[in-house]
Amino acid sequence: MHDLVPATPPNPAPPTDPSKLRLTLDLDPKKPVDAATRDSILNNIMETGIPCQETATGNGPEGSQKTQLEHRQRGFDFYSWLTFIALNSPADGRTRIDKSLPNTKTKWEDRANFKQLLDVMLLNGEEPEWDKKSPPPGCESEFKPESDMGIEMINESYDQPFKTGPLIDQQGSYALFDILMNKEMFDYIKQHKLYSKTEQQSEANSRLKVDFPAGVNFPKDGTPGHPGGIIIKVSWKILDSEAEKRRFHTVDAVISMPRHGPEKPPCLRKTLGLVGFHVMHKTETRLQWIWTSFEHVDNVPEQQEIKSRKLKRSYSFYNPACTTCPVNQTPPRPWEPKQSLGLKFHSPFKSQIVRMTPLTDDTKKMNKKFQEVVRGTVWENYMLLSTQWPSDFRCAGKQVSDPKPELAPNTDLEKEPDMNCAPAPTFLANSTLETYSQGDSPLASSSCMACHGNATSYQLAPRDAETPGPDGKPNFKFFNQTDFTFMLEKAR
Amino acid sequence: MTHSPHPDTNSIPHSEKEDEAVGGGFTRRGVLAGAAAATAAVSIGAIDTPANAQTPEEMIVFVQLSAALTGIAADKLAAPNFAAAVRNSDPVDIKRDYFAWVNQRHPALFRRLLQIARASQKPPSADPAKTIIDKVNAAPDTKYLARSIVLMWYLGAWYDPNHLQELERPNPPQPKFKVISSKAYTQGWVWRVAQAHPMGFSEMQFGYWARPPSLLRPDFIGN
Amino acid sequence: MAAGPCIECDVAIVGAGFAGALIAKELNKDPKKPVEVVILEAGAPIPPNINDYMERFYTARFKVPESPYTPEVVDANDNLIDPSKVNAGRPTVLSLLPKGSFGDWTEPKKSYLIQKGPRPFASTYNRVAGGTQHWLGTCLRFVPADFRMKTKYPSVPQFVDWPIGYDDLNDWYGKAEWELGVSADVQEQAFLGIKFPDTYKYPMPKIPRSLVDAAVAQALRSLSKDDAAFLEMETSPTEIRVRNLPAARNSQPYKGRRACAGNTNCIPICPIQAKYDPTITLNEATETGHVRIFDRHVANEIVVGENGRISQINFIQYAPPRTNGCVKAKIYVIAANAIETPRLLLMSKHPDPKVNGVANSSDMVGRNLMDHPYYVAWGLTPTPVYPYRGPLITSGIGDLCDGPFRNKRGAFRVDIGNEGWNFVIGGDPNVTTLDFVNGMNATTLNDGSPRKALFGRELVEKLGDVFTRQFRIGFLVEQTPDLENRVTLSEIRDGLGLRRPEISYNLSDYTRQGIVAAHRMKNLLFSKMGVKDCTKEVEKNEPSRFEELIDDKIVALSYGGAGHIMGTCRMGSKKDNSVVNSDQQSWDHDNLYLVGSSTFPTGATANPTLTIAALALRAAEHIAKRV
Repeated sequence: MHDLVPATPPNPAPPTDPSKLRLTLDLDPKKPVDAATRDSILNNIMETGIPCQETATGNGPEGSQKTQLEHRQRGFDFYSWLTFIALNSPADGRTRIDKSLPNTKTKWEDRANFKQLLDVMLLNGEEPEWDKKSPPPGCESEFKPESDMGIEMINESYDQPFKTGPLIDQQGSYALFDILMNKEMFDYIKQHKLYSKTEQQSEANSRLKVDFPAGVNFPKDGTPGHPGGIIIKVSWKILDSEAEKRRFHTVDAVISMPRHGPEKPPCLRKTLGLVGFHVMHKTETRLQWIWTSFEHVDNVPEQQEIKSRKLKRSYSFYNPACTTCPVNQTPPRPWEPKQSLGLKFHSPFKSQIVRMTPLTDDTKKMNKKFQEVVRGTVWENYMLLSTQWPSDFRCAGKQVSDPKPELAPNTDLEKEPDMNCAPAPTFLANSTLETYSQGDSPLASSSCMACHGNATSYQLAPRDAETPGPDGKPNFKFFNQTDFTFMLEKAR
Repeated sequence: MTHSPHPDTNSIPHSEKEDEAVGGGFTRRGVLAGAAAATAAVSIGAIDTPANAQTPEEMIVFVQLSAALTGIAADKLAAPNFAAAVRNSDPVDIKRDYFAWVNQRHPALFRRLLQIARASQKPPSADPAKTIIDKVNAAPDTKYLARSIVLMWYLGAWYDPNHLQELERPNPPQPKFKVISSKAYTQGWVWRVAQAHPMGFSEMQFGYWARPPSLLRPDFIGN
Repeated sequence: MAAGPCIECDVAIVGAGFAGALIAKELNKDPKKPVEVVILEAGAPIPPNINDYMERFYTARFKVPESPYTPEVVDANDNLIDPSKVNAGRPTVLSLLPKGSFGDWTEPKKSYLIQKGPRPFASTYNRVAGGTQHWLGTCLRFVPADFRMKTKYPSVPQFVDWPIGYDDLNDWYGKAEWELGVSADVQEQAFLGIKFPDTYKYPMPKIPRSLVDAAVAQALRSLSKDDAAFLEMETSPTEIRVRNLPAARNSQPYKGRRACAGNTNCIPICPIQAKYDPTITLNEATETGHVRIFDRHVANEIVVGENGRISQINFIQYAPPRTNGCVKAKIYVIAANAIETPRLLLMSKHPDPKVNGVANSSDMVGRNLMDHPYYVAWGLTPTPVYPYRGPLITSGIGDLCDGPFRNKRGAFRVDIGNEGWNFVIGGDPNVTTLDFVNGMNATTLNDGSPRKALFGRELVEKLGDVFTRQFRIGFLVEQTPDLENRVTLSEIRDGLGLRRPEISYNLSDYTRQGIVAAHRMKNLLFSKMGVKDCTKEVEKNEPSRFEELIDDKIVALSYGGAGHIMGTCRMGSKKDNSVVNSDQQSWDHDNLYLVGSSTFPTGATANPTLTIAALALRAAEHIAKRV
């Protein structure tokens, strides 16, 4: 592993043959998680780093009582929790997650492992360096690089994708959004100069088919395994009270407000609490990536909970006492934060958000178990929503039927009719990150893969793209697909 | 340096092995081989939870019937592009919606069609698909319901069998139909036969239209 | 009449469509000089997402341009809803059908427009925040000759000149193209005198062309002089170029929206908003904090006060409970499309009792109603061209839009359809599939005896063969501004008790000859492509049917509507024969602007939206100086 802080060997040691390593977790709600199980899972994650290749089969506990889809879904959900624990484990590599404090820096918050999008897509397409983190504009004196998260606000920091709207918590503050990538993503972007809009449009890049590295445990050629591309998207809540700070994973942040003109924007120091966590992970068997999403348990209620009035006393983005507040409506405009108000919304409006699609019973069971594994820390206040994965295995792995030699060996973005290879589940939305596009309307409602499948870059077609060759067919096919990520369109 | 802390088989990127590992798959060859496939599937298949749902065996027969009538490969109908269909690995699972829809409207006639499909799998039938079609065409009631089922798979819309019969007469009325659901519309097979996609629902990429489409067989409709 | 005080603002705009949205945003482009704008929108507000629009569309039996939007077109039993019961109704293509049929065009219980004829006006519009969201996306500039029809073609008495020319709009076209986000390449779009500033670039590169386009281009690559002589161009072309169609459709990420994924659904709605629609500009406008949109507010009277200036606009608000109200502003802008704008003007009183309607001293309000009569033909290509893929239209032929022939007949622009027979046969693939499953012959393809009713592999082979070869061509034909083609007020009312628009409409001989030329062009193209012509014979009771003598044979032709409604408040250089001046300002009322395609004195052949946008931005500059 090149991009993780090296760990000292934990206790107990894993088996000497890594391919024999097995982690299991009995999901029976009647059986509490014992120390040995906890140790096995947490020690091995800490030692081994991020699980880089998932395997999900059509069998499992409860055998024929569950469908193959449900078995596989469980496999992916299991993988998701392991990923969550691995990424959120303490950055020092020695402390186990169940011994962490609310504000213990996580692996992904460590700039040795992950880099924020705006630190890669620099102004004027400047070449980024992995080790360099500039303080957010206006925060130069305030920013403490070792302990602070630095956030430079742009529209996407407070406005959800495709400008669908900001999220205002019950204390009247904006929720903030950020995107990070791991070193493999960064290296690929840097190698092909995709951090610059001008470079994306270069002649050289007109022939590039963007294809991020796919993770694999044991490559066939005997080279070391590697995780592949990982992208994280987070949502934060601004925390004011000490009580809140004990329930969330927190980070100290300096935030520069959105820029207007050449003057330096105001700089704010805030404690942020993690409320939403997306991970995209590309592996050799899932070239369409694996998509997982977590939320803090206090975010929003489900429809069923409202109907049966089994509500918590309070939520971050829902007021149980207000029965007439319109649900899932966008705030009144303007949406951009007023510089004079800091990160407080300009009107008394608070977002009243309800989860439209409930978690499945299987996922809820798994959540309870893993929450036991990390019991005693803030991490027990997080839950998995679901994992979206390409369920059409023949599509996911194979090439299109007729030979197309110019296709790169990995992701085949030319597949018809379904380039996404049948995402399961069909729809998935995080109530803090895709708040206003929840639902089950094809294409209109949030689905990680259906939406990300449309992501394109600024690449231009080569001049001879349409010129027919001797056989009358065009010489070269032009691709501007970005391999499922919207990061490249943020190049400046 | 990194290990998969994950149970069971690993490092095998291709689906075929996984599918085979879980018991045989639901290939066309399996379908045409006859009753054996159906019986085997029943013994390992999942029991569906909704009370009024079909048994796995009925679903297999429905898929076989539909494949014969529509001309689309059974494993494509059962789960677009997914081999081990009977065990429900299809996140969209439109076949379930369709089964329930027809069963609710014409239960007795539907059962007769299923029985025709079952009987046609047995020897001496050398071409079960042709046997099904011939038998279905033999009587008007089975014929028109079969047509309704074909239109349902192709268009995601329901044309009532009595209405279809009406439409074949001289001076017919305007054809009437009901789109079954937004999901059904986006799962229509006619668009795949056209090597395209439902209008308003593309899962393809910018610029794809400048290139010829993938092959009808096997990419779009299987077999 | 009004309950309570009026809403006050600097600029009041009626209509939240293209023109209204762009003006509202443009007036507030400088945060240091805000302009308080109120927009009155007759229809429903912008929803937080398009879930409902898409659901409505996917489940619609009739996937017409109106289908995703409100108000509903048909009820739960698929019957047309009576427009007299709808608060802010609008026309639908379903009510353009023969007398006595399901969508009788003459029946006020079916048709929102009271159509007096002699021919049906075949275009429709939306009344919803966002206006013409269902547009295709085409962003064509007019060619220079289009602005000078009277000067260039004096033998056609109906034509007038625009009071401005291409050069006046060149920069505004560029601004509009960047505002909407148009994809095209400059070199390819410089034809028939269209020119660009030296360093001008479109915001995004062109959308790749389809396989259908390539087939057409190939067929028209080498023609003999006789082939194209009928066109009566300056010189008979030996090649007719197929050009990429500039469109407000992303070919790259643009302003936070995705690039086109070829959903083949531009009309009526793009599921991923890769196509620009005015809700984008409306959202940007309201984001400034100085623009308010009042949805479900129907303007029903423009009140003229002292000195002929507008003093207020009254409205009916129909979200229950219904209320009346008014808005007062310094400047008023009517941006309600070329039928609803004259309707509102005619519903309002001019201070001079001899004048019929506000702004109408010229008596031109409502007159010169124009469309682009749309002529279609379809057939099967000899080898597959793979339709149903890509945007609805990616290329067209514009090189035939001007020439000496324009002294005698209307010009036409050619649309190459990528959607097979979907549009032309009344809802393919359903119609063709039904033909071959149920032994019918609506398409004329199942003409054997007995007709084929197929199952299984035979069905797949048949449909696969047919669908991959479906081809359709369309022609937007130039219509003359005719005084008797007009919008007036009917006595028949809508759900708010307001008088509905009454339409008188016909096609002049000039226009019909344009359709004849289009028909000949179709024949040339089909013969060069080897297309088997499957265009259905026009039924005798078809209201849009007409007959022409072509090469000594009587040919039955028909037309549809392109959705391009123009001419009813035309601009001019003299107040006695036009409604607005070249700044789209009313001659009669100096604080009243009428914007949109109602101000076009002639319609030419280009889709009007880009010109609407350019003129709107230009008018906004004029208004900004006066607020």
